[in-house]
Amino acid sequence: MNKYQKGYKTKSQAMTITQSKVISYAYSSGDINPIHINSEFAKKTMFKKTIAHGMMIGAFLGEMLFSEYGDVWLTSGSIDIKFKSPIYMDETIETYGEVVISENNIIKLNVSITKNDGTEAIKGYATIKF
Amino acid sequence: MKLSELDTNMPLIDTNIMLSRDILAKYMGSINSSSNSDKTIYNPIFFPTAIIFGEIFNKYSLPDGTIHLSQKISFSKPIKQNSMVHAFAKINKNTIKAGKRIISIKIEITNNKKTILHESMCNLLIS
Repeated sequence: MNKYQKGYKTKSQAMTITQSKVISYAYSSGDINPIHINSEFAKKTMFKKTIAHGMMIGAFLGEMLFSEYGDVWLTSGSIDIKFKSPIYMDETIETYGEVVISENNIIKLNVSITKNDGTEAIKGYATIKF
Repeated sequence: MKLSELDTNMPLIDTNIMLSRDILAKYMGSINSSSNSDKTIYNPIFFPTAIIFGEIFNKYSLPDGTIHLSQKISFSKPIKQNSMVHAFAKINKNTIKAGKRIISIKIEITNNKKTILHESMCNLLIS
């Protein structure tokens, strides 16, 4: 199936989130909120444990769409996502994307990230002009 | 200064930011995708906004337990790797719903010709 056709599903990508990756993300982005990197601090919050940055997890959707659409995605896209559930360390997540509208050289994809227990962590949509 | 105390339309940052290859390499390493940045001359779409968030959070203190609720990014032009951009961010809304403070931040990224490259909006829940 053509990747610009309605019904096309992107190749899903799975990855495990580790504390070392989250620390690496924190220091490369500058977002060193202790809820992401300090387990003692996190114990006192509603989450009880450190959680990954929403923007870090969202970036996996960006990478999935780049893998599918290359520079077309980087030059004419948009993405709108909601963070529904936190991602804890050592959880495995999987990306999902499906073209739901394709007309006038614009596609709209439903995108999401799901945890291995089935919980939806991120949900939203992306659009690409081509 | 605390982010939660800022009024609507209050500018947060208005500055040039260098999106260096070194920072990009570390960023890509953390999201397990170092190979992708070699396949294009452009930055991944979340990268510039992530760096600008870092600048904002370093400048303004975030209350404990802040949660990132949603993120919208639209991009009219790609941003080349290792380039300087101008970042302008402001408080778009600062409201209280059901006893919880929600802050909306709008970010505009422009080039040296003041052309808008990326626009983004995020909502943060402040406990």
